[in-house]
Amino acid sequence: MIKYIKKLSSPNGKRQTSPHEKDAAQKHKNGYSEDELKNMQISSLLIENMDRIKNIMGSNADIVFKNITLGRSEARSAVIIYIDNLVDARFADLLIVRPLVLDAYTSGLNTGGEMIEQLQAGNLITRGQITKVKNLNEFLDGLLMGDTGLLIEGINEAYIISVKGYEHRAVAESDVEPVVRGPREAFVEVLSVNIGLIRRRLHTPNLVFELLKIGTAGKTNVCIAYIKGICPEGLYNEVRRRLERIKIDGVLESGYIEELIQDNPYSIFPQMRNTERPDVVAASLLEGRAAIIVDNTPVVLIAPGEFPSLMQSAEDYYNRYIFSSMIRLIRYFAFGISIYLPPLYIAVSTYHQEMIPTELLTSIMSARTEVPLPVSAEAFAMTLTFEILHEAGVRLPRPIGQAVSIVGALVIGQAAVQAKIVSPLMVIVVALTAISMFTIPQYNISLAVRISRLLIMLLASVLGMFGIMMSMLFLMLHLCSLESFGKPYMAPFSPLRIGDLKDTAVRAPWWAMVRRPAYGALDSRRMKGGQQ
Amino acid sequence: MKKTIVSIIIALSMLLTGCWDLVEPEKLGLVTLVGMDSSGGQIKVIIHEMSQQKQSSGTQMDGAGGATIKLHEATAPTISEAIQKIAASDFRRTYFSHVSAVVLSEELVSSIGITPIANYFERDPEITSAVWLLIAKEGQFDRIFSISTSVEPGASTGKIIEGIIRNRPALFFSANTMVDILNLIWEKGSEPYTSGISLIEIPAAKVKQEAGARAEESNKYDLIIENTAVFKEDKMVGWMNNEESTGLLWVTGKIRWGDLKIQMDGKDVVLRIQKADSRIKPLIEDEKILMNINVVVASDILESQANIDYQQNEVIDKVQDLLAEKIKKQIIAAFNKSKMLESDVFGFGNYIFGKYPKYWEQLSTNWYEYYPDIDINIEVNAKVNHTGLSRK
Repeated sequence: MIKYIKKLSSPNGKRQTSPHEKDAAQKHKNGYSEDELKNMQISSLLIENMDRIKNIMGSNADIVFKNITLGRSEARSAVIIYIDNLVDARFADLLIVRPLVLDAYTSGLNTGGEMIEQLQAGNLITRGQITKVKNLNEFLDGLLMGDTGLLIEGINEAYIISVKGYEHRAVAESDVEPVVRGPREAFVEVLSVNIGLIRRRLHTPNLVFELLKIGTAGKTNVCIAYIKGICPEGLYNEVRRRLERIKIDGVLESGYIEELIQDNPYSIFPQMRNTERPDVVAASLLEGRAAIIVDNTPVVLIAPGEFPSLMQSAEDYYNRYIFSSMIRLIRYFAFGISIYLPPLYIAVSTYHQEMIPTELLTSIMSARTEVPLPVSAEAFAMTLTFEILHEAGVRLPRPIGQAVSIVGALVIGQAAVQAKIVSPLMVIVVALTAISMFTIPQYNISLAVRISRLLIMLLASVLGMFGIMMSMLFLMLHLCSLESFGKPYMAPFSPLRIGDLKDTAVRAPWWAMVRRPAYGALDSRRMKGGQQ
Repeated sequence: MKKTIVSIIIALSMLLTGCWDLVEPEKLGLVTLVGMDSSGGQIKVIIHEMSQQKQSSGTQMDGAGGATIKLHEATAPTISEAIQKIAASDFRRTYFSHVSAVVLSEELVSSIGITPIANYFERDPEITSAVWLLIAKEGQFDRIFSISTSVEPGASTGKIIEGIIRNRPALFFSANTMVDILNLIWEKGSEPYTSGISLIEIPAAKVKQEAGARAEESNKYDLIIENTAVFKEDKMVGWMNNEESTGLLWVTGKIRWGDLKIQMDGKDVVLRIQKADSRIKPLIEDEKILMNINVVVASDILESQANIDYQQNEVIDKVQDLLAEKIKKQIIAAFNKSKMLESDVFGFGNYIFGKYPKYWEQLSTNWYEYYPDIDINIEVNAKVNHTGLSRK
């Protein structure tokens, strides 16, 4: 029986096959590793190269092979290879195929040899981004990135010409970080566009975009951006070192990278700032930070991302400083409310009623006379309901999202109160908490707030004020023990740097911010010679 | 790994206290007023407990919701036993943190004294020592507790008392809080004092006039806080009337604000006291005790029935002199009363102890033999700052 199956499964067992062929067939099934590809040098025999490439990628529908001949006499055959949807076909035709095929008739170059000579001198194809590659790995990488490959008979090199052109979203207004005053544009999913958006804001030759490829299969372009002379060497070297250590098959979003390179992977607090605003990135670069731009996502990471920087909004710097300072103070206050209001309500109303003014206590009491749930259960029920609504609101398609908010407002705000399941005061508490949470500009901080709030509510309902104090202590200890790329997480509050406090809970006027934040930034003077 | 386990165990140990003192707010019986009376050698405790009515549902916000006051009463040899008895008959948890006033009957504080009561409140962590302590005048105690709920339906009597003391401008409110009284008891050479409270009936005709149709139920009674109960050691020895109370407060420097009437050319002029301060300096020469009392008063003219031009400096000077005279008179009246009652409510002994601690040791054993012989020298620096917009 087994023998019979073996016979069936190897129908060509009797046929004589060369070891090479067998090897190739095997490879075709399992795919090729990077090292194997690196070992495959480009041969001077066109046919051999073509065999290999077709063997590796030939079964793909989107790969295009165009055979051409160079020269009117002594023609040399060549192949243009590209992947259909990654290349601007119009450009490829205009810039590669025409000069090689049609222009040969007008340029006066007759023989294939002459043409190749000109090509190698860099004359024939006028496209700027043209590189020579020696092995198949680089060649295929180029193809898959959207470049066009040119293989020529008799040359053991290949040309990679960039005529990328693929569909992408246009630069649009930021949805996640909207501002009233300030630039509207936000990053898109294309790295080169994003780099351009930053470059347009900082016209300095010291602005560096280092390119790395991350992901064994994804080979995503990841860019480290920094300004030489402002960003300390240690920082961008550390960022590069951490990025280079990533061994993952694919990076689809910068969140992958954030999670892989953050300092404290178990903390609920985000340790890098993320933004989709080019102006925020430019401002951060000017503060001596480094940015990590990942292809295929509009979300750019900024390192280091200490806590005060996560509480900043781009608009803080565009509005007048008095207003910005007030808004920032409100934001910090709201941050406190969004963590501590429900726990405080639970603790005070169930353990420390002496802390409530008599009038308020009587109104809490009368509101709760027919509510069956204990205060803590009420709070958890309401918070959970809000979390569900929140998640549903985010996940649902936009037209339905409206329905959710109406249902939520009706169910929670009115029906639950009228049915005496929750007290109106709890609705106020939860609503205020939720609204406060949305004042925090960084979405990932508000995630940390939501988690810690639930834990602190638990502590408050078991231990009362003592639990809240414990949680505060723990939270402070935790926040102060964190680090982000060598920068203390609570800097400049702890360790205290009085000079840097000017851009934390308040925003000093621009003329007073003569120096950059002391951590990191090399060239500490933002304004040479101060401001007159 | 071991470290993690140990730290988790340590963290969990903090949860061991559990929720032993958890009380849902609606299960509290808010005590707003506590009263104590003597009853056959025992202590009778009466409390006003707010019981919460169901909130009227829907949008109607009529008087249906809100608080009603429930009365609980128990008699026992000690306060805690009495409160235990009350708690045993109450389905809510009697909660004393929101007590705003404690009313003691005159009979109780003249027989048992105030120390055992203050002692209880001092030890019980639930009640704050910042509550007002007032003395119900003879025969008024039961009336205050049974009738005062109709002074203003729905409002707790404790809050009404607090409101009267805080909001009514009167110069004779000598009410002290529990902690003040305790301090006065413990201090060397001073005696406690506090306001008295009584309930008066408003004549029915007047009520009708004032409140119209609803006169039947409400506003027939009003709480009056006046006079000063004076203690010696911890037992009450007598009353000071309102004039004397004001005199006492000038010296102790506890005048907050209030209106004072003086006679100017036979006509009444009322001054509003804006600021008052006092300084007392004892001076002992040749075994003779002299208390220098310096009172600084700032006032505005509030009402003038005399037709006087206040623009003139002489007139203002005269008003100031009259004011000083009046204050002096009140202080002397208060001092005479305190001599009569043999109670050093001014705390003169304390000032002597502060300046002449050795000499005070001699005096303290029989202070009240020296007390009537004290000379007082009163200096009043009275000022009229504003005369108002009216010229005359």
